[in-house]
Amino acid sequence: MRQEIDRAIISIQNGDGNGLALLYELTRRAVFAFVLPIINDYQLAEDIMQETYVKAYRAAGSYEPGTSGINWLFTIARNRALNIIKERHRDEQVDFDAQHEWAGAIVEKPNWDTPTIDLAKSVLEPDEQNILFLHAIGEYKHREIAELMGLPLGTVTWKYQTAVKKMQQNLKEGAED
Amino acid sequence: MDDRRLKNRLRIEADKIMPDVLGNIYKEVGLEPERVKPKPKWQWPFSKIGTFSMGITILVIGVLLVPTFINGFIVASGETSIRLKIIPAEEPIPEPAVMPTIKYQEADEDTPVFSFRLDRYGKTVALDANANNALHAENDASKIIAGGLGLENTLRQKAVDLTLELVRYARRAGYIKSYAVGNYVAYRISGPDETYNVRLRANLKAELETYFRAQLIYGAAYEDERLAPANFEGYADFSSQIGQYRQDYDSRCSQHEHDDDRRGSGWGSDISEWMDSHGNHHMDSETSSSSDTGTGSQGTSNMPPTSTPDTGNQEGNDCPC
Repeated sequence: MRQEIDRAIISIQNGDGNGLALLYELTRRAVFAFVLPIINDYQLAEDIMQETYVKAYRAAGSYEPGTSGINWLFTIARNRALNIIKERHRDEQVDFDAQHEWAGAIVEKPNWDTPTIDLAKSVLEPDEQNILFLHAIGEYKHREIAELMGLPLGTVTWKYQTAVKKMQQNLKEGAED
Repeated sequence: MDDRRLKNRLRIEADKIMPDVLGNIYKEVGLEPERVKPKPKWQWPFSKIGTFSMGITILVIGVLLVPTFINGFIVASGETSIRLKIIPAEEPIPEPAVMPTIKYQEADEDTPVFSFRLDRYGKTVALDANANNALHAENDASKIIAGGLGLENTLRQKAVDLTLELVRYARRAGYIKSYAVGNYVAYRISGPDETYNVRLRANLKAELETYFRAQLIYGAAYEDERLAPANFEGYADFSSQIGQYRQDYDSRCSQHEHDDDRRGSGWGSDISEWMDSHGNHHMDSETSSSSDTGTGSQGTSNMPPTSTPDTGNQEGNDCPC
C-alpha cells in the first residue's frame, strides 16, 4: 500500500491527472477514518475531504518519495480540518493545537444516523477513537497504525482492545436499557 | 457484540456518511472532467513496466522449466549423457581441417589439446570445424586431459557455475593443473608417466562420476575407449536422488502456495484481527514461483555441433581457482 501511495503521488508530481484519482481511491477511507473523530456533519466531512486532496494535489511537489505518503496526507488532512473548523467556530475558544485533544472538539449533535460511530466518539478517548476508526474503517493493520501514530505496537493493540471493551460494555448496557 | 461485528457495523455506518468528492476535487484543481477516472471496482495492480517484467519473468521461467521437464524425461529414460571426454595427450591427434586459433597467455607452456566450450545454450561445442571434439595440438609435447562437459543435463546449477566448480574440485583433488577460460574446462596432467596417467584417468572418472551424482547429473558417455561407459542407473541412490530433486523442485514451486500473509504474527492476543482479515480475504495466498535451476537447453548423447573457436576468450586465462 505504501508503495502504491508513493506511486500515486509521484504520478501527480509528473502531471498525471489520474494519479490524483488513484491517490484518492487508495486513501480516502483512511483519511476519512482519520478525520472522523472531529466531524459531526456531512458538509464538514465533505469539505475536509475535498480540501485535503486539493491541497495534496497542489503540494505534491513537496512530497519526498520514500517517506510515508499516508502520514503526509494525514498531516494535510489534520491542518485542513483544523482550519475549516476554526473558520466555522471563530467565536469558540478551542485549543486546536493540542495534538491529542482535537477529537471531540465539535460538540454539535450529528446529523446522521450512525449510532455506533457516535457511541465511539462519546465514550472513547481520542487515541482510542483514532485507532479503532483507522483499523475498522480505514482498514489499517495494528502494525501500520503503530507506525502512523508513532506508538509501540503493544500500545496500539492494548488501546484497541480497551476501545472494543468499552464499546461492548456500552452497547450491552444500551441494549439492557 | 464481538470484535468483528463491531468493526463491520462501524464500516457500514462509515460508508453511509463517507463523502465521495473526487469529482469536486478535479473541478477544484482545474483538471478536465474527462480526466476524472471513474472509481474502479478493481484495478490492475501492476504498472505497465511491472506487467511487462512479469511477462518476461513468466517467459523466462517457462523457458527454464521446459528443458527441466525434458531433462527429467531424458533422465528417466536413461539415455542422457554428459559428454565427458578424457583422452590422454599421447593419443594421436588428427590434423584438423581448420586449425582453430586460440591464444594462450603462456604459449610456451603446455597447452590444452582437447577442450570443449559451452555455447550460449549450455551445450558443448567442439573446438574444431569438423566436430571432432578433439584437436588443436598447438604444442605436441603437451600432456593434457581435457574434459568437456555437456551441461544440458545439469538440474541444479548454471553451466558456468558448474564448470567453475568442477575445475575447483579437480584442483582440490590434486590431479591436475586446471584452468577455466570462459566456459572452457581443461585439465592438464603435469607428468609424462603413463602409469600415472592411467591411474589419473581412472581416478578422474571416478571423481567426476561422484561429482555428477552429487550434482544430480545422470548418465555419462566417456569417449575414451579405454574407459567403460558409465551406467548411473546401476547406482543405488539414483532413484532417491531423482526423487529428492523432484521433491525439492516441487517444494520450491509450491512452498508459498498455502502461506498465509502472516498478518497477526507477533501481535500477541490480537488474534481477532488476524481472524477477521482471513475471514474477509478468504485466506489471501501469496503464490510465488522461483526457479534456481540453471539448466541449459537439453541435449542428447552425440557429438556437439561444429563450431569455430572463440578466438578471443583465452586471453588472460590464469586459473581462477
